[in-house]
Amino acid sequence: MNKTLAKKNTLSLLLNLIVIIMLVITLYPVIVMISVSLKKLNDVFSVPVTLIPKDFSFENYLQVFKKMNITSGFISSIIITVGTIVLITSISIPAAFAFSKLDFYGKKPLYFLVLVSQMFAPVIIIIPLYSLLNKINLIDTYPSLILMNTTFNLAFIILMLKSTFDSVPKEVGEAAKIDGCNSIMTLLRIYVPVSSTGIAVAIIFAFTRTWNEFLFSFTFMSTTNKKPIIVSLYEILKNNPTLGVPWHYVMTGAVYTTVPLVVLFLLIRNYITGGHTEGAIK
Amino acid sequence: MIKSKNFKKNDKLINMLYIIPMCIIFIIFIVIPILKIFNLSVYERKINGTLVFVGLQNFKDFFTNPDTSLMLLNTAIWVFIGTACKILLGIIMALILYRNFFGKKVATAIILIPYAMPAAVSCMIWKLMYNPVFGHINQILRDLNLIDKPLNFLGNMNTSLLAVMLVNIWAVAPFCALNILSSMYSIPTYLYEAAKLDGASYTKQFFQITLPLISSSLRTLTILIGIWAFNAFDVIFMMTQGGPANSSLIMVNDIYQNAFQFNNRGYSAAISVISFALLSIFALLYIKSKNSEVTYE
Repeated sequence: MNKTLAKKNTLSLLLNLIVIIMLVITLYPVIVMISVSLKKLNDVFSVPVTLIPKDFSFENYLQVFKKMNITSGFISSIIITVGTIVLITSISIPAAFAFSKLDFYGKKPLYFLVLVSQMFAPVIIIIPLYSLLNKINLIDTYPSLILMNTTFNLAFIILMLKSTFDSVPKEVGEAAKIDGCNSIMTLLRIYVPVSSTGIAVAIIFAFTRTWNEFLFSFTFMSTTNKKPIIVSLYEILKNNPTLGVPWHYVMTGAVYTTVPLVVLFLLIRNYITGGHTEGAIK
Repeated sequence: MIKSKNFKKNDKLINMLYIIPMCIIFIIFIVIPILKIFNLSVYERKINGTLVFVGLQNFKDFFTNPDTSLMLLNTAIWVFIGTACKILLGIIMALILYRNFFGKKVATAIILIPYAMPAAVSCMIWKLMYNPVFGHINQILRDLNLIDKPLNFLGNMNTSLLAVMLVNIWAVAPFCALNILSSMYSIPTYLYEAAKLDGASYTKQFFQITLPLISSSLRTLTILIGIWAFNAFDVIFMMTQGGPANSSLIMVNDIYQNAFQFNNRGYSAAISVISFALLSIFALLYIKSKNSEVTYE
């Protein structure tokens, strides 16, 4: 009996050890980011490399706004993200409602189109998109990025919202119909309030994906002050030789860029696995 | 009866108003551009800016280009081996997280962080860590006495693809783990209890219960991760630009380079068409797999 207990104890010790190793590997780059963001620049380049800064330089977190041009990056990112959220919710809520509860011409082929469209990387059609936006004078403007982020997240958000609306019992809508609500009123007065959690999760997804978007932001924006934060940070790296990069400020900026995302992801962590694999033709 | 049928028909028409905005966006920004790509792939832009019809010449150029085979091989390694690693690590992490231990909730939240981080940020961190002089990875290898002189992971033709793959695997494997974990939770626990009573070992339980029951959702996940890998442009673009000497170049990066850096738009469109065809196969597989998924509840 004692023997099995001892065996069980070593097993659980081993398990805990594996968990710790797994977490250390997963978190190591994050620790590096925080460590470098607290170093002085000459400490970053000094060998041997240490994880714990020689002297902590917390003022990096204030200096980065003065020394680097990242304030405009954050403002641009916020404008683009908010714009995308407004546009994407106003298009996807009615569409998801129609796919979930209504009957209309072309429902099946359109649903198939929604499903398939999210499989193709935007980079495949970047040339025609560039010429199109250039033709209507939208290159190097916020609306171009708002439109692109909306287009390439739309299918995903519609599928998420559709499954949210699917879980609302049909009787709820029918009761509203008997009370004289038309379909628009049923959507706005009943389905939207009932599904507020699902809609909030969808908005957070739209936020994170827009915040992270790189391809279009990098290709379409040429005015420095209009570039979103992701591109501003990348360009500090791109425009300097490796030894000339102010790594401590880049990593400070990276921390500022990452924190809101991680917080949002932790808020919706129970919905993440469902979100991405939603959507089958039933 | 006839009246109500007409009424229904009318409704079907009116209900289309709900999806018109979506259709407009899709037609303008996805459908028409895809058709344009097919059109563009048979033209070549001359130096003076005029488009000349060249037929299938761009495709011929693609298959006769000596760099193509390396690029296709890189793409295959990036997609297939990368996906295999992500899924395998995902299963291992999910198995660890499935069991009860102190701090399980915190651990599950922590492994989400690599996935939540913007790709650009993780690329910057890894670029710093890979640096031959002041990078952390070389320092660790020095501390362990594994190397005499610094290794330049991103600048070496033999290691550049593996180095960028590692970044991508690090970012996506936790997502796989969480997905696999949620399908593992949907397996009724009485199956394990019965197996335990019969004296089945953990390995036996895994191969006889867990794996068969998660296999259908695992297949869907694998195809999805493969599609994402094929489409992953950011990591390679930011870390190596496909270099050195194309050693880490994959298809989507080739498309971008030809379009915006070498100004070979027709050639780039031809690669887009080929990618589109490949992705269509993956997409159909995904939908088929998704539809045949079974749940055990």
